[in-house]
Amino acid sequence: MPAKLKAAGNPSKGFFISMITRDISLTDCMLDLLDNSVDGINRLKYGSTNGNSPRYSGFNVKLQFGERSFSIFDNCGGIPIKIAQEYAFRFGRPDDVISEMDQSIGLYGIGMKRAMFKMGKEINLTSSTGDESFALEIDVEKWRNREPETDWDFELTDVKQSGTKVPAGTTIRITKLYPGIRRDFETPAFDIGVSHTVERDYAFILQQGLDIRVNDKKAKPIMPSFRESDQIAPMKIRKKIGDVDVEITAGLATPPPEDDSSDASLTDMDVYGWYVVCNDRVVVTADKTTLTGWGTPGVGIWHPQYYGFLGVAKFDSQKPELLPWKTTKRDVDPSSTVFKSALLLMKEASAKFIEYTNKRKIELKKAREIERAAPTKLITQIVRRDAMKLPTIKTGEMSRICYSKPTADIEGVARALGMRSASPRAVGIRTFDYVKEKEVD
Amino acid sequence: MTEELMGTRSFEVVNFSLRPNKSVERKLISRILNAIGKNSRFDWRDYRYLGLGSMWFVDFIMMHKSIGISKLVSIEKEHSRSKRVAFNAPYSCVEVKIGMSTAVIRELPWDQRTIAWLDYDDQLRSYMFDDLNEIIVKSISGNIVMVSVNAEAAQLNITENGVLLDPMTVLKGLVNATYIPTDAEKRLSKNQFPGLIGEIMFNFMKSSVLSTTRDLDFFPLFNFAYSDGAKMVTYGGVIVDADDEKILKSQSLQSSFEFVAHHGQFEIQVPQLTLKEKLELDKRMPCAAVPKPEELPFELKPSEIEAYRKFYRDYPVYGEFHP
Repeated sequence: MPAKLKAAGNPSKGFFISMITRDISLTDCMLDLLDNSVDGINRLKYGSTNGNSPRYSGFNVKLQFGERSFSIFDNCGGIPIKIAQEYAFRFGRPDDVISEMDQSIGLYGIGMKRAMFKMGKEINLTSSTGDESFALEIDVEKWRNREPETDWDFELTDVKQSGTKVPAGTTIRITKLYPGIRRDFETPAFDIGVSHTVERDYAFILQQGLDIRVNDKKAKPIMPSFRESDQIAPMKIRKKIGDVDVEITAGLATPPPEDDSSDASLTDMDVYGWYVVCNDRVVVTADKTTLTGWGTPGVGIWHPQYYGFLGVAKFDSQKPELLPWKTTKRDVDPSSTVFKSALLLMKEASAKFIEYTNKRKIELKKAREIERAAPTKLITQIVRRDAMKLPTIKTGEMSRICYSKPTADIEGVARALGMRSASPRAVGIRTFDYVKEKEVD
Repeated sequence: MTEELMGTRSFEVVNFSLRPNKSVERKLISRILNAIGKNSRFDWRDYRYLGLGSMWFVDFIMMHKSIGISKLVSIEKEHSRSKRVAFNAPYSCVEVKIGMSTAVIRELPWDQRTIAWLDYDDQLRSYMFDDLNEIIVKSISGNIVMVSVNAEAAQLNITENGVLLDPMTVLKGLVNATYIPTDAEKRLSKNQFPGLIGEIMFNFMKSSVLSTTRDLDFFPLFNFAYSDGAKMVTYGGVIVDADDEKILKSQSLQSSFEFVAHHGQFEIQVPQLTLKEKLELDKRMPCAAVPKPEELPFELKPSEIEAYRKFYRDYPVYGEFHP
């Protein structure tokens, strides 16, 4: 009988490294590591009640990056040796690891490796649970070229099975950075951008006490907030869909702009739209696309007229696999049935708001006064309300005026009206109002 | 500035040559450029100067006379003044381009090393970043990019229908949030805003260079705050490859010039002096110890005397002539 021949089917390490690091941004890699730290806290806290103190207080994570290195330090419980041995460093979570600790273990088991391999060629990790500890060093080139090719393991060193002196937590340091990564780390806008992303995407977690520092700067939560008074108020509904708790809050965050034409310089445009939050982690921010219903039947395409609208769809579950997030935690899975049924409620809210922004033009002054007078409240202070409350506006006909004039003349009129940096549209509206006020009964 | 002044073209209000602090700034810039120019990699004679010459062309005269540049381009946006601007161009090597700065910059060739100084004399506007970006994206190593802008914190106080807008929101409408330092909210006061503008300009220029080129970097040179009425900031630096960066570092400008950007923002605050006062002070210059106020036959603050001592060689003399 002839010997059985086999064709090798295992992936090469080089291929794997380039595959897993290709489609993820550097910022997202850093957030992956941050997610691991948060998971660590959840692992510690699993099953325990929160008591009176905020869930994450007493825990901290420090991100440091610059020309030479990237580091992350946390005191979030560390990686137990057993978890390190069996799956923390594997590429992908083995099928048989489904435990009671579901919510707490990183769901897909790829983030840490992806982040490390993306940034540099030398990785040093130490982790301690406070009782047991280990270290791990990876020289990426050596590991990659090591024979046999099927040997993908990493060696744990300095293993202490009990009574370790290393304080609880995990430290990862990456050096020999790739040139493109080093440039990003030196770019001021990258540094500020990371801080901003952390403040927004971890707002609900920061709010519950986690202390995150980005290059020594303490991140402050940017919490969604709404205008709420007896005349205008957001809706907030709660619903249980299977094992997922859904909470949808939507309403006015800021009075819509004076001038919503395309040439207006609108401030803070990237704030408005829909946010999707899964287990306190913001996974979609300020979305104005079909993903959250804009431009789908019943809801118009996003328009600057809707600036001021804010919607937050929160999904919480002990079973993270039921949540509508994607593996990167930076996107929503639109095919998720939980998300689909939430989307119906979200679209209703958007449609109602759109209708209001059209109607308010008839009694703009009144609408503005009500909007401005309403105090701003954090999402956590908003009470349940089945429908958005909006100012009542009498109905009436509107017509549109649209015309072109020489730029120099418009600038001259603007100067005369004392509105030097205003847009042409705003100048046009003011001239109409001026005549109406002075010449019309 | 009053509302009335803000509504007028600045060159009709301010005679550009009557600004002692601005004048000192130009001379400090000239000193730094001349120090850098000692290295043959930075032979200014091969450079082009790009500026906003207005009617006065004061910076153009300096770039030609004391730096040695013989190709100068001035951008002028006022079509209605095009003949007047061309008439006032001081040398045959000054070319005036009429149009919006962003458009003119886009159409210029960028294969020659250039010193570009966008001396806006205006409040912060988002188009300024477009202009700077246009220059940076097209830059080659050795180019110098500079910007001057009004740095009065009051420019963020904008009312809409009688309601004062949040100054931080106004700032974010003018500057992309990724260039605004995370502690900006605490630095919007009159005295801190110029420093904040300097930092925003650094963040913007460095980030633009690093993110739009493969191997160029940004080397800060100028970070001045001064006031001849309204508080202004001038920020700028060199776009460098590894070789040019090495040359600039080896010149250790920071040890010769206390006003180079390495030391943070430098405030130029020479006093407004009459000719008689200037001559009286000059009799005591140079001096190792700063003269005390009581030693002078007129009143000056110690800080004004100190500023004058530092820059008496750069202090301009103005006069009125009756031909």
